[in-house]
Amino acid sequence: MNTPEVVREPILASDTAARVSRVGLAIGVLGLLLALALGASKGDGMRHFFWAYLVAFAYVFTLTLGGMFFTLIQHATGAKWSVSVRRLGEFAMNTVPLLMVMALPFLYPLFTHSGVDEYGGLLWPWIHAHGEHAELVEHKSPFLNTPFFLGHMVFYFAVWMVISRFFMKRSLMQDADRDLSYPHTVKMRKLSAPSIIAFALTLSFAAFDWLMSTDPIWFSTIFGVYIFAGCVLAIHSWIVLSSVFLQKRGYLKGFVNTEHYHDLGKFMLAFTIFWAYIAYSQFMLIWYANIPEETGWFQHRITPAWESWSYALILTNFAVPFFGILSRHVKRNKAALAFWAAYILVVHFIDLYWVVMPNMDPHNNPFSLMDVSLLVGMVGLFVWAYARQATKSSILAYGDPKLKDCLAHVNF
Amino acid sequence: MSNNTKQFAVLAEYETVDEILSAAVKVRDAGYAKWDCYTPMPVHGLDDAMGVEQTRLPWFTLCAGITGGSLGVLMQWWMNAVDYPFITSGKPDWSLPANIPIVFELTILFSALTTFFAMWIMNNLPRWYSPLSRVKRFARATDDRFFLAIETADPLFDASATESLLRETGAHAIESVEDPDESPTPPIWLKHSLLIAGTGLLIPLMIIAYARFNTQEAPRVHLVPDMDFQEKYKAQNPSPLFEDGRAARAQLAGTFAFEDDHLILEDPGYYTGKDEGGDYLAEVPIEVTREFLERGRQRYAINCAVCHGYDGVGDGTVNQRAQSLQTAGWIPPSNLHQAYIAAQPKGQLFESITMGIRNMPGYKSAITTEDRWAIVAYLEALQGTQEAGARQLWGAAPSVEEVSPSDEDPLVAKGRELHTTKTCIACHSLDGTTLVSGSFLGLAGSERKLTDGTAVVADEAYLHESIMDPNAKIVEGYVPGLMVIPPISDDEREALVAFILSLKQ
Repeated sequence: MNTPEVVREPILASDTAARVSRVGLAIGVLGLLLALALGASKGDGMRHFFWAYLVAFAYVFTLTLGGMFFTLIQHATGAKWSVSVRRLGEFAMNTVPLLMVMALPFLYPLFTHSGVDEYGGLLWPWIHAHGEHAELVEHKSPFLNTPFFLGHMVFYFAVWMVISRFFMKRSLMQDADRDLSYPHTVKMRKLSAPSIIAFALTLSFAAFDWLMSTDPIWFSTIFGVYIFAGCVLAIHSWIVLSSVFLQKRGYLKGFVNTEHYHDLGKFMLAFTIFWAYIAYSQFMLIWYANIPEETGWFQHRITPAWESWSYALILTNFAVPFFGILSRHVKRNKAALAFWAAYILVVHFIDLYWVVMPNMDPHNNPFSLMDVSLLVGMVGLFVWAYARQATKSSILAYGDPKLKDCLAHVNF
Repeated sequence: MSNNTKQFAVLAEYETVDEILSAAVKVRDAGYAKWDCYTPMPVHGLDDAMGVEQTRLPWFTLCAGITGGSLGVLMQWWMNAVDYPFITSGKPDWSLPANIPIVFELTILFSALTTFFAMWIMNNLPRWYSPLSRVKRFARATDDRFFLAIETADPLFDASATESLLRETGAHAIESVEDPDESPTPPIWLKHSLLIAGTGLLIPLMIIAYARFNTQEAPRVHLVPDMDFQEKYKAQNPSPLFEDGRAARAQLAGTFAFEDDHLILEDPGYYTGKDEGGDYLAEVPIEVTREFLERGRQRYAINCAVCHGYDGVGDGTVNQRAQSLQTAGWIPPSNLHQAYIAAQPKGQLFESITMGIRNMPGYKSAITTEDRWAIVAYLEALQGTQEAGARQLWGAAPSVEEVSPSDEDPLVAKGRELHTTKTCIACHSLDGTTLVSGSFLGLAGSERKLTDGTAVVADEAYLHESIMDPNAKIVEGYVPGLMVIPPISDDEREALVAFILSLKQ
C-alpha cells in the first residue's frame, strides 16, 4: 500500500489566516454598523433589530457549539477519519469568548424591557408579562425570571469556556508531545464523555432559555435536540468550506482527501435527515394531540405571513439537500460538496429565522436587508475569531497518533 | 465420484497485502475478466487494483426506497380515504402528516430488503459450493493467506500463459483447481431441517385458522393493558377538575360552533336537528333517495347495530354479552321500535345520535353530519317494518297519545307528554313492568326501602329530590349513578311530579 509516511510538522497558514481574519473583522464591523443604522431608522425602538440580532446570535451560537460537539465526539469515539480536519472544529469551538461578548447586548432587553412594550415587547415577553396570557406566563416565573436567566447564561458560558479551553489546550499540547504513552490523547478521550453530557444539557437549556422562551407559553421538550441538529449540520458544512478554501490556498494538501470529504458529506446528509426527523417529530405530536397551548407555536407559523416560509422549509432544508447530497459521487466531488455545504449554511439561517421571528410578529414577515447585514456582520466576526487562531496555531492536529490511520482511511 | 473432472481455475497464493495488490494490477492489465481475489480481511484499494467498477446496487436501493415511500402514501390514501373512511381525532380522512411514519418505515423496509436480496443475487448467492473449497491450501484464505484465482471460463485463459503470468506476479504457490463436475446437492441434514422449519411455520397459521373458526370462552389476553383500559374522561363523565363538575366544557360565550367547516348558524336545522326556534325538525332535511337510505343502512350496520341490533330491537352483540355476563348497572340499549321513539321528530333522533343520550355516547365525531341524517332516514324505514313505526308511517295516530285521557288536568297532561319527550319512558314504564328501572305506576305514596336500612314514603318532596339529585337516596336493589339528571326546567319538573302523583294507586 502506498501510504505516505506522515511528517509530523505543523501546518501554519498564518498569512492567509491573518488576511481572512482582517476581512472578517471588516465585514463584521461594517455589517453591524449598517444593521444598526437600518434598525435605528425603523423607528420601532430597535425592536426588529434586537429580534434579528437574536437570530444572528443563534447562528453563530450553533456554529460554535457545533464545533464543540464535533471535537468532543471525535475524542469520545476515538475517530480516526476526522483527525486531519479536527483542528478546524476546534477553532470553531474556541470562539466561546466572542459568543460571550455577543451575548452582552441581551442585557439591554433584560433590564430595560418595559421601554418598548408599546411596540409589542422585546425578545422575551416573560420579562414583563402583560396582555391576555400574562397569568399563564406568571406561572412560569420560578424558572423564567431575569436573575435566574442571567445565572443560567453565566453558567452555560462557564461550562463552555472550561470545555473549549481544555480541549483546545490539550490538543495543542498533543501536537508538541512526543511521549509514546500519549497522555494528552488519553486524557481528552477520558474527559470527552462527561463533557458531552454537560454539552447536551447546556445546549438544550440554552436553546430553551434563549430561543424557546421567546414564546413563553409554548414548550417542546425536543426543542433542544432540534437546535442540536442544526449545530451538527452547520459545523460539518463549515468544515467542508474551510477545508476547501485552505486547499485552494495550497494548505492541507494530501491531508484532507476525497475520503474525508466523503465522510463529511455523509454527516451533512445524515443530519439533514436527522433535522427533518426531529422537526417532524416535534410537529407530529403537537399536530396530533391538538392541545391549544402546544399548537400556538405552529399556528403562528401558518399565518398568511409565514405559511409559505414554513412549507418552503420542507423543501429547502430537507427535500432539496437530501436528493442533492444523496449520491456518493456528489460527496466525493469537492466542488459539488462545497456547493452543498454553502447551501446548507444558507438554509440553516432560513431555519433559525423561522424558529425565532414569527414569535416577534406572527402576522408580519419583517425579513429585510437588516436581517441579512446582521447575519453577515456576526458571521464576519465569527470568521475573525475563527481565523485569528490559525495565525498562531497549526491548522492540522499533527501530533495526533491517529493521523497516519486518518490518511490511510478509505471508504468502501 | 465421477472421473469426468476438468480444470476449473488456476489458483495463486500470496503472503502479503502488497503482493496481492500488485498481482491484481497485473492480472487486471492483462485483460482477464473472470477472476477474483480472496483475502482474510477487507483490503483497502483492492477494488481499484482489480478494476472493479462502481456497483449499481445504490440504484436498486434508491428505486426501492421511492417505490416503498409511494406505496406507503398510496396504501394509506386507499385505506383511510377510499376503502374505509373513518374520522380519527377530528383529522381529515386522508391527512399526510399522520402518514409520514408509515411512509418512512416502508421506505426503509423496501430499501433494506431490496439491498439485501439484490446483493445476494449480484454475488451469485446462494451457492452450495465452489470448486475452490476443495483445495486444501485455500482454507488459509480465512486466516493469513491471500489468493487470486483465474477461471478457465475466461476467454483469455490459456493454461500455460495464465500460469506463467501468475508466476510473474510473484505467487508463492500455484495450483490447478479441478472441478469434479458433480452436480452439487445440499446436504441431507439441511434438507431435513428446512422441511421441519417449513412445517413449523404452518403452526401459527393453523392456530390462527383454529381461533378464527372457534369460540373462545376465556377472556382475551390484554398484552398492553394501558392501551385497552385508558384513564380518560368520556362525554358526560363527571370530573372534579371543574367547578360545575363536568368533564366536558360547554361552549364559551361569544364563540360560534363549527361543523364540517361551516358555521352551525348557517343552517342550525341541518347541523343540530333543531331550527332557530329550538324546535326539532319533523323531517330529514335532505332528499331521501334509495342511495341515501342504502348509505344509512350501511352506517347503521357499522355504528349502531352492535348495540341496537340489525333489526333495531336492542339485542346487538354488546347487549347480549353484557346480559350473559350479568354486568352490574348495565343499561340495555333501547328498542328502537318503541312507540315513543317512533313518535319522535326526526330532529330529536338526529340529536340523540349526535350528542348521545343517557349512557349512549355521542357519535358526532365518528359519523359525518350527512351520514347521521342517513341513519335517521334509514331508522324510519326500519321502524316501518314494525308495528309502532308502521302505524306512524301509514298515518295512524301514535300510540302514546291514544292513552291520554281527554279530561286530564293540564299540568298532569304536560307531565305525561314530558314523560315521553324527555325519554323518562325509556326506563320507567307506566304499566307496572320493570324496564331499566321501576315503573311509575303506583310509585307515588309507596314506601321505599333504602340501602342504608331506612325507609321513606315517595311523596312530592321525595319525587322532586329524586329528579334533581337521583343519587340522594338509593332504593334497595338499584345501582347508584345510573340515572342522569334530566335537562328540564323547574316548571317541567312540577308537571312531571304532578303526572307521577296522578299514577298513585
